[in-house]
Amino acid sequence: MSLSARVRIPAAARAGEVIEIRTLVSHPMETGFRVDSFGRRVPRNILTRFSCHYAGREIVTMDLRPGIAANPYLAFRFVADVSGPVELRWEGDQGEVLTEGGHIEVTGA
Amino acid sequence: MKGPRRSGLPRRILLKGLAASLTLLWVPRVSADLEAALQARFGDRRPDPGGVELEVSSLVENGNSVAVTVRADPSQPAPAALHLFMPRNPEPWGGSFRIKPPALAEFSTRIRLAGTQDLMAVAEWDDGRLAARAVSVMVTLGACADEIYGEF
Repeated sequence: MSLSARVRIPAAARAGEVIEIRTLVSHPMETGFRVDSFGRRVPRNILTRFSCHYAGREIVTMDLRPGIAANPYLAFRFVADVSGPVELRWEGDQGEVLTEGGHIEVTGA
Repeated sequence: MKGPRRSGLPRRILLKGLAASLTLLWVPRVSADLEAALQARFGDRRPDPGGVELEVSSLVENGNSVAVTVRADPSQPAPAALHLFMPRNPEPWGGSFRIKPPALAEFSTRIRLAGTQDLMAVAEWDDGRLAARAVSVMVTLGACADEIYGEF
């Protein structure tokens, strides 16, 4: 299964501006509660953890559970205060790791 | 409608599978599950009402993907975490979102809902204080319904 993410990270912001990051990952988020047509439990396969580092600081983490829909979407906002990289990272049940990133250039207020 | 019927598959196994699915997925979960989920995350602490907003449609047709936004009350100091609970899902704990400045205490995601229920968002502050908001969501088709007939 190919793991891929579509993310929207603004490239530039004014200092103090609130910016939004939107993410969408291709992932089945198999709950582990489903049963196949032979009565066998389909093993759980979900993304369990998300984190966002901005300019070297971890600003957001999320624990994801089976109740998060397939192809998990996550959007959040923060105040752009300094220029720096944005690093997004997802980890899953099968040891998979997906990283995406960008760079925000912050200009004076 | 049933999924693709495999030729030669004994009817008994198919029925057993369906029965198992129905049992696993459709047993009504009562507030005892929410209580257990709150206990697991917060110990003996219980949230006070208010202090957090939960945006979600009050009527959704398909429980497989329901957009929600959880936002802390901006008039209060920002909490350290926002939690989401779906009491009638097989696993009531939906997720936990932790925030450090300069991140704002809000997030949007899409969740599964096994059926009509009262969603709960809980804000947690560093000092241990909890606040919660519950919103009732009516689900026409639960997240599990088409999964029983889904592709495998």
